[in-house]
Amino acid sequence: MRNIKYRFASLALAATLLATAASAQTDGSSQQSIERKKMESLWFSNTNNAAGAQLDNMGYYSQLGINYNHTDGDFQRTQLGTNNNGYGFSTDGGGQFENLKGAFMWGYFNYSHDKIHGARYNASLIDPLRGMPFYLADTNTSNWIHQSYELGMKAATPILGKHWILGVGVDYQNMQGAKQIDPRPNVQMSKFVVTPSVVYTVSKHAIGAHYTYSSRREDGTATNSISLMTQPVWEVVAPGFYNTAEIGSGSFSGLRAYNANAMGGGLQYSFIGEKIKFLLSGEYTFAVEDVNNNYTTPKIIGTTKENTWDVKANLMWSINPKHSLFAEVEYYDRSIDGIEYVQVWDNTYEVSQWIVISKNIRSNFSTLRTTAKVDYMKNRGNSYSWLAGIELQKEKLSDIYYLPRSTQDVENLYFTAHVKKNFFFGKNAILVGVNGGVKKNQSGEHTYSGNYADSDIYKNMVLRDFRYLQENALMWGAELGYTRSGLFNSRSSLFINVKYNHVAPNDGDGKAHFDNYSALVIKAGLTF
Amino acid sequence: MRKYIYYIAAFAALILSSCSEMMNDALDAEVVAPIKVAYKIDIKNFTAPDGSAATAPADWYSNLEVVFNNFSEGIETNVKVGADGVAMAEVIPGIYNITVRSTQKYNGKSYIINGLAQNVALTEAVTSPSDKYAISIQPLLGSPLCIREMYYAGSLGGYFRDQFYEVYNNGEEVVYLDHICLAHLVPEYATTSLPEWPAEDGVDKYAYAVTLWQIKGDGDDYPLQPGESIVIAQEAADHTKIETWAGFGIVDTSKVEWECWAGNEQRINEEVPDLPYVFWSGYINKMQWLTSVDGSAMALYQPGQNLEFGSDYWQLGVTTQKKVGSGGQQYVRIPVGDIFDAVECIPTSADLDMKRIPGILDSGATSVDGYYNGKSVSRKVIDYREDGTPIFQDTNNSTDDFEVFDSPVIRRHDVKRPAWSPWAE
Repeated sequence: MRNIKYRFASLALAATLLATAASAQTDGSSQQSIERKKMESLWFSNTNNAAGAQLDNMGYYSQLGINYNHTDGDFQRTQLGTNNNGYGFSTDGGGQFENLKGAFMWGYFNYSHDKIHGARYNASLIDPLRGMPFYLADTNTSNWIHQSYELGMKAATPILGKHWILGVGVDYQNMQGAKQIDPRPNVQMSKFVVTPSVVYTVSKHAIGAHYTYSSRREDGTATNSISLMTQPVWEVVAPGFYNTAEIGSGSFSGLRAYNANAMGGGLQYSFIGEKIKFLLSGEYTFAVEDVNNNYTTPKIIGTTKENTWDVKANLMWSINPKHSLFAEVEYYDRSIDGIEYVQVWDNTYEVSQWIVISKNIRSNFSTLRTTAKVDYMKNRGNSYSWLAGIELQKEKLSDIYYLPRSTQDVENLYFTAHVKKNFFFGKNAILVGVNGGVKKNQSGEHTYSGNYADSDIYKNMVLRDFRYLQENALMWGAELGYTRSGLFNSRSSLFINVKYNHVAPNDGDGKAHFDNYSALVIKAGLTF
Repeated sequence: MRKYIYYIAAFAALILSSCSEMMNDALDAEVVAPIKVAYKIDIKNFTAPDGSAATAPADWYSNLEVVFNNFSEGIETNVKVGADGVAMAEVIPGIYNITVRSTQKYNGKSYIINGLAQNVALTEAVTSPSDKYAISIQPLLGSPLCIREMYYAGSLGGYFRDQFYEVYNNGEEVVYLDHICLAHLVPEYATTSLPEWPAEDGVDKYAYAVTLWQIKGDGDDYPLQPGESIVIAQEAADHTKIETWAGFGIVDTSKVEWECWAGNEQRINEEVPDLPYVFWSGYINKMQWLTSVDGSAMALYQPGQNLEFGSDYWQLGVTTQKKVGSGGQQYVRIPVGDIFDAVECIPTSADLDMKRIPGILDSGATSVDGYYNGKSVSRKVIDYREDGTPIFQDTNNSTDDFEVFDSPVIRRHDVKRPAWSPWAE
C-alpha cells in the first residue's frame, strides 16, 4: 500500500513538473484564463482526439490545487449516501512546447479521498450508478471510504508533411472503495485507456479520427469481520430482481470480479476561421463487462454489453476582440444490455467447473440525452469579465426487464442559467457567480411483475429511486472566488474559490418525498 | 509516416484480438423469450403392500402436479400431469428443480409419490417427451418414523454443543427403534459441487453417509408408540448452565434418551446412555461429534441388524462406497428403500441448488437462513390424535413439511416421552 502511494506521489510530482514546465509564457494565468482557454480549445475539450489539440493553439497553462467538498441531504439516489465529505489534490497543465518543435504535451493528476455516509444497498461497487446491474446489495446502512488516483496525458506531434498530426492519449485510474460495516468488501479498481489519433488538415479544414481501447478491472469480496453472524445480501441482476444469499454461510462467495474491455472510435471535422471555430464530432464505444464470483472456479454472474453514441457540434464565434459566443448541441445515446447465463456445475472429477448452457439478454438500460447550451463571454485580457450562459437538456431513462416484464421510463427536462462576473482590483480579482435552474418531469412510469414487491430493497431503493428520478426540482447556487496574481512572477497567481449548490425537490402535489440536497466545494491553489 | 500508421494498426489489431472473444460472446446473446417444455412423469418399480410387483393405478397420474421451480429467480410454475403422464409448462430459460409429490392410497396403504429432477437446465423448447426430460418415480410406503425437530444452527456467540435430533412416531402403530441409525449424509457441508459416485450405483438408488449412530437392541427393546418421540443429543447436558468462550447454550439436553458421545472423557454424562457410532468415515473427532451449523442432511436408516464399527460387515461396493476420483475414503452406502426419513438442511432458503440427497427421500430442503441464530426447524402440525398428540406433515418435502422457530424446543406440541425412557415420570 505504501509503495503504491510512493509510486503515485512520484507520478504526481512528474505531472506537476510537466504542468509547470509549460508555464514559460508571458501572459498572466488565472483560473478564469484557464477556463477561457479550455472553452476556446474545441478539440481539446470536446473530443478524445489528442492530435486535434494541436489545432487549438491553446498555448500553455498549468494549475494545481487542493479541495475540500461536502454534500448534505437525501435528495439523491439511495446508494450514494446522505452526508459525504472529501478532499483532494489535482493538477493539470501543458501545451505546445517550442523546444520540442511545437509538439503538444499535456498531463494531469488527481487524487481524491471521500467518505460516503449512510450509503445503502451496495456491497460490491465503488460507483454503484456506473451502469452495472450485477452487484451485491445488503441491508445495512454503511459508510464507504473511497480513494482515487488518476493520471493521464495527451500528446500530439507537430504538423507532419504539412497536413498530418498524430496524437495519443493515455489515462490510468486506480481506485479503492472500502465499506465500513459487514458485509464489507475492499474493492480495488483500475482502468487504463489508450487513445491513438490522427488529424489531416488542409487550410482551415481538418478531419480527424481516433481509436479507443480501455480495460477496466474492479473486484472485491464482501466478508464479515464478525464471523459468528451471517449477513443477508441480495445478488442483484436488475432493479427488483435478485437472488437472496448469506455472506458467511455455506459456500456463497461474496466476490464480485468485474472485467471490462471497451473499444471505440470517433470522427471529427473542424473549420477554424478568423472569427469562427466549428467542430463536429461523433464517437461510438462498444464495451463488454463480465462479472464472475470466483477466481478458480468462476461462475459467470452476468455480462453487460454497452453501446454508446455521442455526437456533438461546437461553435465559437469571436464577435470582436471583446465578445465571444459559444454554442454546443449534443446527442448522447447509451444502451446497456444485461446478459444472464444458464449454467450447470459439471462435477466430473477431471472437469469440475461451471458450464454455460445458454445466455440471454434479460434486461436493458437506456439513456437518451439531448443538450443545447449557449455561453456569452465578455473578454478581458486573456481572461473574462463576464460569462453568462443557458443550458437546456432533455433526458430519457428507460429500463426494461424482459421476463417477467417490468419497465421503468422517466423523462425529464432541465433548464439552467448561470452568470459570473470578475471584478479586478490591480493584482487582485474577485469572482462572483450565481446559477439557477429547474428540473421538470415530463413523464414517468414504473411497472413491476417480479416476485419481490414487498421486499425491503424494492420498496426502499427501487421505488425510492424512481420517485427521485421523476421528482421536480429547483436548483440554485453561488460561487465566490479570490485571485491574487503576480505572486511569484508575472504569470503565477494564487486562488481560493468557494462554490455552493442547492437542490430542492419541488413536487407538484406539495408532498415532498425528499429533503434538500446541497454541495459545497472549497478549492485553493496556484496557476502558472 | 506510413510506418507510424502500421504501428498503430498493429497495436489496434493486438488489442482487438485479445478482447474479441469476450465481445463476440456478448454479441451472440439474444433477447430472452419463454419456452415450452414437455416433461414426462413415469411411475416405476411399484411394489404392492404384500411385496409383489404391481402397476401404478392410472388415476394416480391425474392427481399429480409438477412444480417447476427456478429458485435463483424465485419463479414457480405449477402444471397438471396429463393422462399420458406428460406435463407441459411454459417457463423462462433457466435452472430448475422439477418436483412431483403426492400421497396415494393402494389397498388401504399410503404411498408417497415423490420425484425430483434437480438443477435441470431448461434452455430450449422441448416439444415431445424424452428420457432426458423425465422423472422416474418409485412409490414408497409411507413411514411412520420421522425426524420431528432438528436444532443444528447454534446460538449467538457461537455455541453449538446443544445440537439435537428428535425422532417421532407419526403413524398409528408402534415402531421398534432397535437397529435404527441416525445417519449424517454426504456431503457434510452444503455445496453446489456435489460428489460424483460410481455409475454402477445408478441414479437416486443410494444415499451416502459419513457417520452412523445406532440404537442397538434385540428387535423389540425400544418400542415407540404413536405420538411419542426420543431425542438424540450431540452432548447430553444442561447447556444453559455451561459457559464457554462462545457464551452459554440455549437448550437443556441433560434429560434426553441418548447422546452421541465421541470419546471425550471431559464430557461424560453417565445418566444418559451413549449411542455408539458404528461407522465414522475419515478422522474421528473424539472431542465431539457435531454437524454443520449451516445445515446437514440427516436420515433415519434401518439396516435390520446391530452393526459394529470396523467389522467385516463394511464391504466396499456393498455397504460402503468411494467417491469417483477421490482417495480411499469410504462412506456408508444406504439403499434409499431402507431409509425411514431424511431431512435436508441448507444454509439459506435460496440454496436449493445445493441439495445433496435423492428427491425420492426429500424433494425439498429446510433452512434457518444462517447460523448461530438459535433457530430450529420443526415439522408442521397438520392434525391431532384423540389422545391429543400431534400428527405432523410428512410429504418427503422438507420445504413444505418444516417450519422455522426462533428457539428450539424438545417435544414441542405436547409430544410424549416413551415409558422406557430413563426420564419417564
